[in-house]
Amino acid sequence: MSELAVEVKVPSIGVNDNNATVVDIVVNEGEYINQGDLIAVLETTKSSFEVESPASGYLALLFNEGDYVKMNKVFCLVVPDESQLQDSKKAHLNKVSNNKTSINITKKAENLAKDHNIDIEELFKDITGIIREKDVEFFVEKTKNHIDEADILLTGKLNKNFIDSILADYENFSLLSSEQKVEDYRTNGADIGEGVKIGKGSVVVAEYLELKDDSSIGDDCYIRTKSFSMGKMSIIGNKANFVVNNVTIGDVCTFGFNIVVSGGFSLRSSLKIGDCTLVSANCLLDAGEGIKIGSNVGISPFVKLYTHNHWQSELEGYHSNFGPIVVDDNAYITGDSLIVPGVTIGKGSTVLANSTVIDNVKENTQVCGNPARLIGRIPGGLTIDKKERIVLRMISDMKELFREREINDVIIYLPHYVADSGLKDKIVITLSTPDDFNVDSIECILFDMEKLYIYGVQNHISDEVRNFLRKRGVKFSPIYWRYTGEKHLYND
Amino acid sequence: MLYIDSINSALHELMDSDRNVVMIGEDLLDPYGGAFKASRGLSTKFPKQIISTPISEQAIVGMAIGMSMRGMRPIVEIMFGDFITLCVDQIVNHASKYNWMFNGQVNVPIVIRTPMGGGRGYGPTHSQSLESLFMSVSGIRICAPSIYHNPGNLLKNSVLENQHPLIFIENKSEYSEKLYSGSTLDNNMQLSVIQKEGVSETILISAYPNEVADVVIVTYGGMARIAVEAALEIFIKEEVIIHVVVPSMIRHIPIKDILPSVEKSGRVLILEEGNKIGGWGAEVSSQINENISSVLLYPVQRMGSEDFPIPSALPLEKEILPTKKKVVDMILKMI
Amino acid sequence: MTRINSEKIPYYSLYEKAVLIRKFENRLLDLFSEGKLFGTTHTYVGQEATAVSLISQLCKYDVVFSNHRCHGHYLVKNDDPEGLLAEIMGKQSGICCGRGGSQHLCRNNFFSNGIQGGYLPNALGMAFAEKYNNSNAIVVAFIGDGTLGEGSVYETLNLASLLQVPLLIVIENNKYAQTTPIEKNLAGSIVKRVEAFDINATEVESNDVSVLYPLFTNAIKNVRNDRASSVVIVNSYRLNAHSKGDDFRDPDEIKRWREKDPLNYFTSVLSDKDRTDIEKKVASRIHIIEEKVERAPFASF
Repeated sequence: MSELAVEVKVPSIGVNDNNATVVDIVVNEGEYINQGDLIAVLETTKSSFEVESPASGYLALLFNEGDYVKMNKVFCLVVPDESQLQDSKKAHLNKVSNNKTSINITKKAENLAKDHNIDIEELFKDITGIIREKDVEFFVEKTKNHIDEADILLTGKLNKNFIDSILADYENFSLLSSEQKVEDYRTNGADIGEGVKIGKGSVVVAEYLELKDDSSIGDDCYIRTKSFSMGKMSIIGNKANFVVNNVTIGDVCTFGFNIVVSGGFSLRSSLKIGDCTLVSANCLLDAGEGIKIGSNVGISPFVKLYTHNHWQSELEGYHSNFGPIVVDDNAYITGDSLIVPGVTIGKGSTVLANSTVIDNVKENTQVCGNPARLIGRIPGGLTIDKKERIVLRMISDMKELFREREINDVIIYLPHYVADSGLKDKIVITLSTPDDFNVDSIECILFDMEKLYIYGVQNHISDEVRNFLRKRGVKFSPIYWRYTGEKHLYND
Repeated sequence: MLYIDSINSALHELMDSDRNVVMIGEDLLDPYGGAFKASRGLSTKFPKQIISTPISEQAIVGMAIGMSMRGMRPIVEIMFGDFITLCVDQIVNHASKYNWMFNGQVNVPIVIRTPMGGGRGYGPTHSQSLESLFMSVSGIRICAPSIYHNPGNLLKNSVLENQHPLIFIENKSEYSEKLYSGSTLDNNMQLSVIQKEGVSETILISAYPNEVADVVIVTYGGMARIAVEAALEIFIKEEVIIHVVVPSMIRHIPIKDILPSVEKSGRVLILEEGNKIGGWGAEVSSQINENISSVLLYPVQRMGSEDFPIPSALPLEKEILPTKKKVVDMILKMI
Repeated sequence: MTRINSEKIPYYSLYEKAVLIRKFENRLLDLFSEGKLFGTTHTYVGQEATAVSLISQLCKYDVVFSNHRCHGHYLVKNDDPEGLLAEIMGKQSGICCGRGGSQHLCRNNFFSNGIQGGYLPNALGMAFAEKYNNSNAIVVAFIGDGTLGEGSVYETLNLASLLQVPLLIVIENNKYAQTTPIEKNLAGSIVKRVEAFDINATEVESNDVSVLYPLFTNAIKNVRNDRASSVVIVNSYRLNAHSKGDDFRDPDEIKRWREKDPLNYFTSVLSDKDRTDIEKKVASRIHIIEEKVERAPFASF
């Protein structure tokens, strides 16, 4: 054994990564090192870690800084005798190339490489093992940032003097009326729409600001970002605290009170949210490595999303953990849960209350516990028959509930809507509407359960019905209200 | 090291360590050394510990039972697994019952070693996998090592540590295959031990053991190799992640070691070489359903031999026995 | 065969054992009619001479393997009518805690199982182990005439002859296999069968301990010393049914054999007083045991 070169393998760190980049090699080729000495620092998408020498001897390097290596594969060699350096390297490379047949490339990886004009054989020539799409993706996206350029707001640039003046006289500025503040921001470069409110005691300190129609910021909010953009009809509750580089919020979103969004001002620190998403009160979003939340996402109170996990020193052997968090469309994270760095919550999935999620959650699954484990799946894809049964049950429950108010006759179910004067002033619930029907000619109030639109004149009964359905997860979001006549601004 | 060599050297070690370990079987003596050479060299080195007998499967198992009741550690070699039918009365009405019905006053620690499996063209009475016949016999154990286990070690545990009558199923097609030691296989799959206790060693083979599998294949013995080859092929084709869970002890089924993978994945295929009808897979499938049917994404699937004897001609054998292609096709249907 | 001085035969204790068997078995049949037993039972009445002559000459470390008709053998090997009765009545204090019942007994080197001929290879293996480990013990296996239909018997004889193990097989030929007379079941001669395997076979027809005792002394001595197998065929008769109520034999035949009842042979060697004493002692012993076992708790896990 003392005759042979010692293989130093890339340690396997982290559950999601198969690969790492060589960030720093601290020893020179041919140098003598002792057992336990640091050889190199490698980096994955989530953390950085070290390769130490398992033996004393002379170092034969097989990779350079910037190279890409696979977990559990040989990184370098340590030979007992200086003269063996070249030979042992040759022998290893021979072994690797002789095992060329032991490299397996999946079809998907091949296709992806072809799409990006990558020569897979050349790229992985010193690697043995299975090459999959993820491995090629890693290389393709290595230099890409986590944030889409398109997300960064570059309009609504605020006048720097104006911002300085706000900071100089913070309290007084914050106590100005909403109309006054909105006007001031608008005059000084911000893109602000109609009907926007900024509450008492609230201040936005940013370089770029965009607030679309009917959006509002509550009282006592402190928003300090580089760029801040909020969509139509979105609401931020009282006492919100934003200290993060970039915020992009879609339409009809709701933020409860006491929200904390932290993360500092690095390039990756950002919060992007889609449309119709709810982030309830008291949530903590540490967005230092980027949090991306999709549309129709529900996040209950006291949920914590962390993209950073570090305190104890790596010099003492501790590990640090960083990574963006993605919460895909239609997901639901219920009360008090905690999401750790680097996790993706898949579309349509559910995180049950008080869970600690340390692994990606697959689409349409339910997880629960600490650590969160799979407890169920929603197969989805209900048939029309099943949907009809469910709607009929909802309607009969509704009628039951509204009985004392004598509005039973008002609610009618039609599997497919057709215009009919007999439906005047009634509330009609349907599972499908014709593509070409004339919205203005509608005489009833129509709830389209498939497209989730509401047509017709809004009244207090239809509001009750909408509320009832909302409580069963059938959400008719304001951006899909097609009311004729006067509209109420009623954000759920 | 080859599978058969592992068995042979384990036998050498066993006989060397304890003169009460003897092997009884047909045609065991050197220079022939057994029909599959499992006993090569033994009768020369340990002449008193190898008993080559006439063709009397029932009597030699019966004899082993009697010997074990008096403190010896006999190993019986049944030349072809198909002949185990001649021993059924001894196994069922004697070996499996003595300890329990005599209220623990005696133990019957016999090990019956026998090669099962087809693929060699030996025909209907020399190619079967009959271990599932014994699933419902209480009081016995069945151990079926694959090339990913260490058959020699499992044999040693079976003889020395285990106290129950134990049927040790070897696979004649695997005898000349290389064993895999260490945690990375030639084809870059990872091998990890889920649980190891005495004769029961359940291992997990996968290219990506830390990721959730799209499908779990539960199998044992000679089929493990086919499952692993199929897993690699499917991953290359479609990036479908397969976990292959291979227990070494098939009765009792270590269901606790198998359920976690199946639970996380939601899809499972149970693969065996014996007849699918009433096979080992039927028992595993039922135990899975009894425990976690609510998280299954697809009904539990089983694959085994078709409901016919195993023919001799190779192309016909391939129709009846499970093959890599059949496994791949089945998996693709499941996802 | 050397003649043993009949003064050396312990008639007193042999009679005790024989009477114990007789009274125990008869009592069992009564208890069966009262519905107090679990399962059926196969009584040894009329064959006591074989058991008492042979097993009383065995040592503690010799092994006896018996069949479904094992009570007589058990009671001589282990003087334990209480354990046996408790076992058959399904009590916790039974020999196997009620798990085995009448046919499946085990205690102190006594084994019995209910598969005809199935345990013969087991007995062979035990004898092999005893020889292998250089002990002085022998293994005695009891089979019946009906058992000679099973192939395992011949496999065992073949192996026993090849391996030369201290196995003594006693074939108790009571001329009936359940309800089938031996003429219908057995082709050829029993002795010739055994001798075909080069195994020594002795045949005797007797219920007289004075004849059987010395015969078994020799048989045991030969097996123990030569460390080789041997077979003794005892032609006798069972006076009761195979189990219960399955007796269709010719009543005259039964009557003839009743005159050759093994207990009768003791009248010439024991005084009336001795015999009556023994009978009374055994009767009260059984009575006390019956009371005790009846009150004992049933078996549970």
